[in-house]
Amino acid sequence: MSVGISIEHLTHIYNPRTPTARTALHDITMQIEAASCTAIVGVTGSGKTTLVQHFNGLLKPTEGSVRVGDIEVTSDRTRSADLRKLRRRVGLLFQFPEAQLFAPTIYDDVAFGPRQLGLAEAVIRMRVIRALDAVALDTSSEFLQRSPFALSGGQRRRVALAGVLAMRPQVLVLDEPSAGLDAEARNELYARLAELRANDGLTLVFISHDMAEVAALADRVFVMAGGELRLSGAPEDLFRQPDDLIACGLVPPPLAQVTRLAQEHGWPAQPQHFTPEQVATALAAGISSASHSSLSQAASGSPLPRTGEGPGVGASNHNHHMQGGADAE
Amino acid sequence: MLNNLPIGVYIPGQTPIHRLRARTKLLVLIWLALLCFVANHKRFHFGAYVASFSLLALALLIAQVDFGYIWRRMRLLVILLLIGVPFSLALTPGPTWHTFGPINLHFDHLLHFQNVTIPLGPIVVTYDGIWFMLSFGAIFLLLYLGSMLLTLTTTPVALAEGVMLLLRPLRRFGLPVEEFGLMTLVSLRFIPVLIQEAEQLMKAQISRGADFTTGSLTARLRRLGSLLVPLVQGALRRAANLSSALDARGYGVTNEATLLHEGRLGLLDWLVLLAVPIITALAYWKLF
Ligand SMILES: Nc1ncnc2c1ncn2[C@@H]1O[C@H](COP(=O)(O)OP(=O)(O)OP(=O)(O)O)[C@@H](O)[C@H]1O
Ligand SMILES: [Mg+2]
Repeated sequence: MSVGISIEHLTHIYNPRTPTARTALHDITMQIEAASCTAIVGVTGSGKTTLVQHFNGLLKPTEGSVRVGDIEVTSDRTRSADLRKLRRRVGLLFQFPEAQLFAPTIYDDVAFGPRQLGLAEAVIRMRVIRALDAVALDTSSEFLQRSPFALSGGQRRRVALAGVLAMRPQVLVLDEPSAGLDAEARNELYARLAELRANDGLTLVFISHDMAEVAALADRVFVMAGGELRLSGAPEDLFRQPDDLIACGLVPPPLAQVTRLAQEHGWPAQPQHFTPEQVATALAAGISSASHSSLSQAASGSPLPRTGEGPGVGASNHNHHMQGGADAE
Repeated sequence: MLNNLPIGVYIPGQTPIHRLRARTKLLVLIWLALLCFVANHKRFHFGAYVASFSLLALALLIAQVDFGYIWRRMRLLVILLLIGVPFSLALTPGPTWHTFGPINLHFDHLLHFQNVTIPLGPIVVTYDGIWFMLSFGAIFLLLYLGSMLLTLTTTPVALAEGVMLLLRPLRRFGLPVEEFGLMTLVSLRFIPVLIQEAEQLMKAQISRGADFTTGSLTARLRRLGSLLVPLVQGALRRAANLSSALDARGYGVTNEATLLHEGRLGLLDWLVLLAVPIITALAYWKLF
């Protein structure tokens, strides 16, 4: 049921054959596994938005191809029936989607997509309510009849996400979904996304500038720079080698930097520890196994034990444990 | 989707043509067009045309414009002109140069049972017809190429400021030139923003299954409506912000506003403004 995306030698040129021609993507080849959660990162203007707009056929490759399940989009003419099918399969939430609401009521806005599919009104209503439910919005008929413009920015973004979800996509692509949201709204969003993934087997792709978020959510990261795909891999592998990341204009999440620096001082945490939970458990394990040998040292003014095999062993054991836990989630 | 619009085609560059003031380029273009128009009365005298086109070609070369691009944009005009050629040739009265035809066109088995012969002509081509075709074709081409070069090498804002400066003397007759100028400048500033926004909105709705290219007329109009609502909303919000920002800076149109792009004329401008009329006028009176 889940589908992946496979991209071969994708090049995209804006305004081709005019003096303002601009190569936004250059020879990109990548695989996005079905039912995975993939992050796309890169500095401003590196081509992230351009890339994801190929995933549902909004932009067509200048060269190369994009394949989603059995539908392939190339530079040649793609059948419009295929494109319609592709757009139903891949839902795309735009950058700052709250500015794109347009209908007089919340209901109408969320129902826009299903209506284009020509569904019966009863079915549409069911989909709207389920979609609003999935983003934790009120589904009372009073709320449904309100104007989306009377909502707060964060609520409007959720309405926009519901509008995409009402299309029942198999792949959900989000362009900077958390930009400009407060901490609580972000956590709320992450929880919703995790739920969607667990319940519906959605393939998730998101663009982000927040490495801590990437570390916490993604199981694979693609790093873009200057329209090219520079790096890819699991977040823990990328953050372990921060130099490559820094060369692309990015910085690893703060906790990954902390653990890396701390490790240079002999602290038991590993660079692949970059969520608060991982770091806390590693530290706790390190402290408990190191307490007999180095607590007295710490009290005498040297808080970072440079020697001792114990803490290292303890940390790596713990690391295995943590990864097992992450897989089970 | 929307990038076929003929506006906003300015291409940044550092050539001398780019550096000329907008009003210099405007004045030169107006001068060349007027001269060619006047020269039309001297039949079969090519001096003004040759001079104008040489100068234009030189300017195009200096500005390093992409000729392929220019050709793609003017294909349609050339086709239209070519369609007009037989009519202007055939329909202008005057002394005859040559008579074509009459030609009889045969259609065998037209409608399966009849042979039809349609007589065509005679077409009388006059000297006036030829001259009319050549001179007006040249004026059209000159205006088209000239204004294309103008917009390719001048930012829309500088262009609006240039027009405003040229029209400033009309203030004496009570015309609100400054107010109009400000309005034009502000609109020009926001046209690209609006186009970009419309494109984003279209993309967002296409992603949700909307189809802007097919369907009945009413369906398409309704879809356009769903585009206009957020667009107008955004524009109004921006307008409100802008007017508060202008107020906060004490902006009023009571004083002569200083302009950002159209500074004083430089040496290059004066040279061009002197050389072009002299060269073309000499060519008009002395050559051919
Ligand atoms: N519609 C367009 N027409 C022409 N050029 C464009 C267009 N959209 C983007 N570009 C150019 O393509 C390049 C990549 O843009 P893109 O929007 O994909 O970047 P991004 O990585 O999403 O940046 P951000 O983080 O700011 O959203 C940029 O240099 C941009 O100027
Ligand atoms: Mg972007």
